[in-house]
Amino acid sequence: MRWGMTIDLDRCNGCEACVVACRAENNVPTVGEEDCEKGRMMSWMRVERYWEGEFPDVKARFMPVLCQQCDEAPCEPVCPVYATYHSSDGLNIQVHNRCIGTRFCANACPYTARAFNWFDYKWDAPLDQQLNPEVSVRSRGMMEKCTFCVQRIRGAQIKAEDGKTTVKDGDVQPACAQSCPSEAIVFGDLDDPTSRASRMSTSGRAFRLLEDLGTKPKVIYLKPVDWNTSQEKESAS
Amino acid sequence: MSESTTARPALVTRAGISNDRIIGDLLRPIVETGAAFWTAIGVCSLFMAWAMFCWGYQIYYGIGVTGYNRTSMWGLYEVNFVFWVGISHAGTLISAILRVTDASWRRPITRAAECITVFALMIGPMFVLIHLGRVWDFYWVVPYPNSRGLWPNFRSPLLWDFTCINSYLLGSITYLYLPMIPDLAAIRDAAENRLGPVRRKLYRILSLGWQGTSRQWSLLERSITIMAAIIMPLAVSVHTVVSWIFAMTLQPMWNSTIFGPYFVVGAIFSGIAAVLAALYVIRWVLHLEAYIEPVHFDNLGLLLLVFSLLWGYFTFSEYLTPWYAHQTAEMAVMHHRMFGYYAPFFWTMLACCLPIPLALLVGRRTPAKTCMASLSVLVGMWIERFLIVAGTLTRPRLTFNWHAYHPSWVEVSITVGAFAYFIFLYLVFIKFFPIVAIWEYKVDRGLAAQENVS
Amino acid sequence: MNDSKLIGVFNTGEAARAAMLRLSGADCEIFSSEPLHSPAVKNHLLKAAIWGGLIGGASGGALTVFVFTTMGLKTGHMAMITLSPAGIIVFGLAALASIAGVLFELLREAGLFGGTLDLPHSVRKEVTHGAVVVLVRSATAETRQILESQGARFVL
Repeated sequence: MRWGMTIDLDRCNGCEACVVACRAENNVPTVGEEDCEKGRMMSWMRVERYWEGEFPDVKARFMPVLCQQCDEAPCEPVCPVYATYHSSDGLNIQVHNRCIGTRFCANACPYTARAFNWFDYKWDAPLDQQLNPEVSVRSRGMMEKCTFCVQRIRGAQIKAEDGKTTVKDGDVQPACAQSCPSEAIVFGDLDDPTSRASRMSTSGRAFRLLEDLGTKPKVIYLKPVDWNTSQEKESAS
Repeated sequence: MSESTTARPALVTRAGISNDRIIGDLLRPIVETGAAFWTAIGVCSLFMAWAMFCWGYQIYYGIGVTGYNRTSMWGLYEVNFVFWVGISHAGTLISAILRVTDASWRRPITRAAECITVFALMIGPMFVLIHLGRVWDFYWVVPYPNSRGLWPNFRSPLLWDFTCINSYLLGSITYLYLPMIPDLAAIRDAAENRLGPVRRKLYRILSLGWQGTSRQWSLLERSITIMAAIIMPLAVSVHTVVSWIFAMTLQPMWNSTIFGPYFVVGAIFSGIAAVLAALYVIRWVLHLEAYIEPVHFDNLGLLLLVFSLLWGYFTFSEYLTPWYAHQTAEMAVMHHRMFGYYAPFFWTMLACCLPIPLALLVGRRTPAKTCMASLSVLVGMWIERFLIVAGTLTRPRLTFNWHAYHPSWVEVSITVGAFAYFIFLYLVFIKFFPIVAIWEYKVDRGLAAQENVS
Repeated sequence: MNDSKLIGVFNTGEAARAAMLRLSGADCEIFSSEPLHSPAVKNHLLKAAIWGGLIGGASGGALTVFVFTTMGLKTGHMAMITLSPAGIIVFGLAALASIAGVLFELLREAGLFGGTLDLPHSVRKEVTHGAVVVLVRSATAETRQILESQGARFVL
């Protein structure tokens, strides 16, 4: 079992539905305007926007970035208290209550995927009524990051413990994958060659973020296709 | 008995210096306390109290009161940590090297240097506590059987730091204490009637059973030499491990193979500067011109000069290789440091660590000139650490996340408070212990006299 | 003061040494405020340093191996027992225990533990101010005479 995710950048239109869904699912606090300006946004998932080309031939590129759930995660060995470690199903686990806030993991992460609780955050009414009871609310001084919605994975596994059912491909979906309107995000078991995510990950368009660092991410991106160029090529041939 | 005491003739040391004068001069700061001392203590305490308030404020509200952000998860606190641990290489390492190489001129200044080590080691690791998000759980990194069923992770460079710094601090305290035992006995015996009952008791306890028998002297000198040999590799390991906190990550301009030696050289460099500055102030304030002499400044200044060149060479190597390789992420950081936002800092650092000390230290090294050079080096080395921490963190690999870092008033207050704390500790030390080792001074003069005769 | 104990206070180390030579055989000791460079005393300080280092290193190694084997958590790509972290812990603890060993051995051998002092305060004060003192534990009738003839300022 090796949970992984593919993100088809060709399908992503940068709508940020995944970002909002992630916040709601995982009780990610909103830091407010002032702190946002200081660069303290806490979202576990962000849509990075890059511009390509010179005006007027400008293209916007969107890339949702979350914790890459690296197989060889640089954040794991540096934590002095095992607050971040590897689970047997390949998840890069963050144990909030174990964290003492050295923030070493965040500095070791080349993807800037980790967020820190700068203060004790409050949810203004009525938002405090819709906190997810499955996910702990973090206090100040703790590190947090994308968990691949571990509460949903474990929930499905517990359900399957009765022996009558098994966790089938597509049974578990993190909030981001569930809410993506263009279905750019696919979640599944990378060890199972028949799972959708596994099949997508073998596509010729597949690449991993900062692959040369050797962190072996379990989030696999699919390169966008430049339709204009390919159509031109087709017509030329 | 009392008759014989009053009839004591003025005994001289082997070098012909009056013993009474040495005792009088070196114990004066301990038995006499002036208004200047209390003023200095008061000013330092004000800064310290403010810094402590700031730390309390930070603990209560969270790390958010600093200027840290999602990319710059570390900032001034880590800069100060590295800076102070660097300063700690002043004493023990320098005095150990000089002891092992038997440079006799070191004798009057070793204590002033060694106590810098101990105080810097009390302040540096304090910043590790200050920077923790949940400082109330700091003891979770201590390896002991506990109800959490969890041991610390020995793969973390922070754990290496914890181990090495602990060993170094305890070793340095021992190394400071051992040569002080005879002097503590001297205070016990010579100044007893000029001290209050509490202090009298203190010196009696601290001087143990020292009475200066030839056996005790022989054992003491031997154990100090052995201790010096043990403490040197320990000091080297401490700053190497500090550098590994950065070098063991994948971050651009941190992941460097020469970071270990580069940090050690930088640490000794700033350490010598700290010793020189402290010696200059002590000499001037306590009127110890006869004990801390121009020759000390001259010799230490030469050492500073050598390390300035060495540091320049390391910095050159550190920047040249990534520049030649021209990797995108490394170049972004380097450009940011050298020509971007941090350019004024970078060029100030270079000026403070290379041309300024070189100009001041080549030629006649007077106390005033070496002191100016060392102040410049201290400023430069602090900036160097700032550039290492902030320069890399504000330029992460995914360019979307680039973000500036501006320290907040809380961080600045605590930084200033640490300097006040250092001065405070030094003042208290001078009030309780002779800053120039009495017996070492006598030995040094004796050896010098012998040389003159032969 | 015990009758068989005599204390001679000298102005210089040379005079005190000469008196010691004359008293050869008697149980005596010399006190000074700076080392007189008398022949080195046989000691076990180096042995204490080495043994301390070995014990410290061994316990550091045992601690790391114990922790790596009991904590069944994977952390990234690193093997459960790796040389570098174990090496640093071993090194740090070895150095610390070595220092502790030397310190303990010094306190033990130099008789610094008990804190009992052989000389009265007035004589200790003399020593601090530069006098060199010879303490004879088994004084005989002519000891006082020898001390005085060698230039002792006063004998107690």
